[in-house]
Amino acid sequence: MDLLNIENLHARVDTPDGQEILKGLNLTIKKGEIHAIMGPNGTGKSTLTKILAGSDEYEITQGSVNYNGEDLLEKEAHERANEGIFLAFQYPVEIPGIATSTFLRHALNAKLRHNEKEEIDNLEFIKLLRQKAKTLKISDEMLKRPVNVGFSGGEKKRMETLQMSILDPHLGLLDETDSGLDIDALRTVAEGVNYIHNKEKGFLIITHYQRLLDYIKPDFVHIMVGGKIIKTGDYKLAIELEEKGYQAYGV
Amino acid sequence: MSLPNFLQGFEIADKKSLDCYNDIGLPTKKNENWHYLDMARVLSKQVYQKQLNDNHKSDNLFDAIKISVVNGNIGSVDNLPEGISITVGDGKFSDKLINEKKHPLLLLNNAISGDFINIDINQDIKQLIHIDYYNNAPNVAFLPKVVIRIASGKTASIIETFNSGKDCSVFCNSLTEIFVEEEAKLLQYKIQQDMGQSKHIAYTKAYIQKESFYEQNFACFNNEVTRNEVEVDILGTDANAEVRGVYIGKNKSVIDNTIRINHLASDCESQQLFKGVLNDRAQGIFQGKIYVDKEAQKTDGYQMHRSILLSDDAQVCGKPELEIYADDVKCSHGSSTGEINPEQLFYLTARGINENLARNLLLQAFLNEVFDNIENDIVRKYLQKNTIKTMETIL
Repeated sequence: MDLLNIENLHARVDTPDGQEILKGLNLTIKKGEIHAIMGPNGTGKSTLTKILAGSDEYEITQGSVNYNGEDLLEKEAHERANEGIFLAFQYPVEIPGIATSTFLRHALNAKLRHNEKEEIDNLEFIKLLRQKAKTLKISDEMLKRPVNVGFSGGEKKRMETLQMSILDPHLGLLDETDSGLDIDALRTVAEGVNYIHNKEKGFLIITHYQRLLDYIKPDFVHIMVGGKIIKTGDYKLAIELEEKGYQAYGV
Repeated sequence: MSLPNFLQGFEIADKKSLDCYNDIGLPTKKNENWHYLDMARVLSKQVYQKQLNDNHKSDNLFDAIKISVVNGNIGSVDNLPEGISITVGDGKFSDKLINEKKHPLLLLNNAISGDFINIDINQDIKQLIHIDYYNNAPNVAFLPKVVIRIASGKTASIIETFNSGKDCSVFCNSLTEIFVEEEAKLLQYKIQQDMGQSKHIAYTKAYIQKESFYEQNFACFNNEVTRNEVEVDILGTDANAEVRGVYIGKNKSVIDNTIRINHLASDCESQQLFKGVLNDRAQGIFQGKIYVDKEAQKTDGYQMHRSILLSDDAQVCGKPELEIYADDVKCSHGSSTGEINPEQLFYLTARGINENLARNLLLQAFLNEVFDNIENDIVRKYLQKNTIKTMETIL
């Protein structure tokens, strides 16, 4: 069954003279599949993930997005998250004044409430958080700090992976989660993704490097140029790109 | 000479102050210190009266030494621990305060008769000292007069809360004089929760001596008109004064914090930190001054005011000032106004938190920078709880 179905999606930056970024994008992700999108800078990869997560920076001018058979574009950002979409941000924002654990408890309880389940109590939550944090090599001290404040690039990405593992999404969108990670951190993040992944879940991974795909094996690799997907293949396409670059695709 | 038009039912206690007040009149925009808050206009529409106590009882929220003031009438204070004296009745502000300051509302307070609350602290007092002002009569005027002295080397904390019953219209003109002796430490909290229609003018003057510490933490949770004016004279070396505040306003509320710290001795530190959130047509005013006398070398003065506006019609007027006559000092000031950071908001909503709660969390986080300085756990939590509650009503 289709988890995500994007048809002829056109989107522009939502300002008076905003540029068109997505220019007729098509993509279908079935349950259990891992898709990777590669492509040169400025081609709309991050925009795609932000639009799917519900950012109001963009205006959809044409096309449709269905998620689990429902119109995704009708839903608010928080509804999408509560229905299982998770965006691991390329640049997680720092939020001074809100402790990481408080923030995550609000997020998890929002999801539980949305799905008409009982909220988790504080003690139980702390236990869950510590256990997940340990597998991702995140210290208790980091959990007490305000959201992403003072974290290194690698710590921020590990924190995104922790949030993903707590919220247990159906569709994970990873926006260059591998950028700026050393080999150990990369492996930790990849293990986090592989741990969550099962036949009910889909992933869309934006990356510049084949390296991440050594650890998370994609079922499909897409090349995105000029706001749309121009070629689709399997893992071998990533290897080919690593060797030859995007020249063959008119870039 | 008679009382001003907007006040009824009070006797005159100090004719000289009243004459002086009548000469000056209520401040208007022409008075630089009141440029953003035209009191003559604010007090032109309604008459306020002296009202009676109605034996209102309230809980002892802070497990404190509690003084209840209902509609301006001060109740008795029992069961005082050793080392503190609280007397209600006769009292006097210092001549220096009354004669030197040509401040119309200060003069008006001194002109009108009323009981003083005199608090003398001669031992460390662990319990909070709580002055609980509550009003439930219509069009009530009250003019609190408070004098606080804390002896050398002693520590105490005082909290003043201002609450009103629903639909009460209040005029409060409060005058507080504080003497902090050498090496003493006085923590003061002032919390205004008059929801709606109250005009609340407060003037606090603190004199702090060598190696002493004084702080005031002010919070205004939505009010019609508030003027919180604080002036600290740092008179001895190695002393430290911190004046902080948080304000939340909606509808047409006007909240004015006017702070002046006078560094009159060397090697002292001061901090002013104010943060506000305004919605609708609310207006915030911050006038902060650090004055450094030529004797006050090695002064370290800091001043910061930040606000977040939630509507296009809300506004903030800031006037940060430094006046420095010494040559070896470190002073900084800053003021900024902005809106909720859209990237932070998206980050929270993308994790499933609805937009309203996300805004509330971000605004709490914004104000928490001020609350984080509050040593007393009970007071800090009380303020944080009230912030969440107030934020829910303004978002």
